[in-house]
Amino acid sequence: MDKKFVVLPCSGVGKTYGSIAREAAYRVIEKLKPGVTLTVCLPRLIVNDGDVRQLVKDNLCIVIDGCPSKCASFAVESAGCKPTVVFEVTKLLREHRNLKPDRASVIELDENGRKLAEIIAEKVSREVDKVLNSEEA
Amino acid sequence: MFIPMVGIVACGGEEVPEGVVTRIAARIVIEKLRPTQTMVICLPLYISGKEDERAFVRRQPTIIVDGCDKGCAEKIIKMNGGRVAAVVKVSDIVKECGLKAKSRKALDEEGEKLARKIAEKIAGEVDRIIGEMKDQTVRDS
Repeated sequence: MDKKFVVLPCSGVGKTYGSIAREAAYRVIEKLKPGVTLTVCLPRLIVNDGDVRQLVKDNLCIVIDGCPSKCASFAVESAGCKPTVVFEVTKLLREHRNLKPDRASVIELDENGRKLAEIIAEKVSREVDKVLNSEEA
Repeated sequence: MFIPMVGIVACGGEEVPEGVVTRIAARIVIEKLRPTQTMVICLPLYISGKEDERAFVRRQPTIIVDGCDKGCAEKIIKMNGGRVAAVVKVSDIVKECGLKAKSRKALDEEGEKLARKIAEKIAGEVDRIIGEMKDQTVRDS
């Protein structure tokens, strides 16, 4: 498949959930699916620097929202792009209630936050595989 | 009414290590250096039109912390009518001090030093802005 996956996490700095979304995105891009995934800065997408919107439109877009405000999804849609799939940290936390992160661990995630980020990264990675496999079939 | 409070907006760009530096520097300021005088503005929340963030940035002075010369956070705040009181660019400070963050995932020792340096620069701007606000209040009274 020629297209790549643009992984766009929430870039929020107010809550731990943004840090988890970000950590999950880096795990996908740098460890689990390097080569087929990349990221762009969310603020760049809003100001459309360097025609980054076209890059997102020409590829597949995976959004990782931090909280129910779904700001990353909103930003992507307001830039005229359509996410292929959306994950939300707080929703996934409800499936893993034992991994509630320390609210103060925004700069550096605690162990629960890191584990949750790993789980989310694996989910994103499986979604990438699903799309790639369906393209091959 | 005089409210000695300054907003900090970090670009938080995911693509480059300098984006990580902006968010860590902003957190150092609001958590450690100037906790009672600053409030972090979540840029995605601001973009999505959340009224609390928009109102704060309209009413109170804001310091923008951009990672690179593209200045995306500054552009976003300005195009929505926000009050930009100062802009701190990581790329400018990198040129001045030679420190560089190498990874966007987690900061190494040099990246942490850079984040601390930027946090101190932001704190200096907070002091300057609040000083000017106080002077203005005295003049107006």
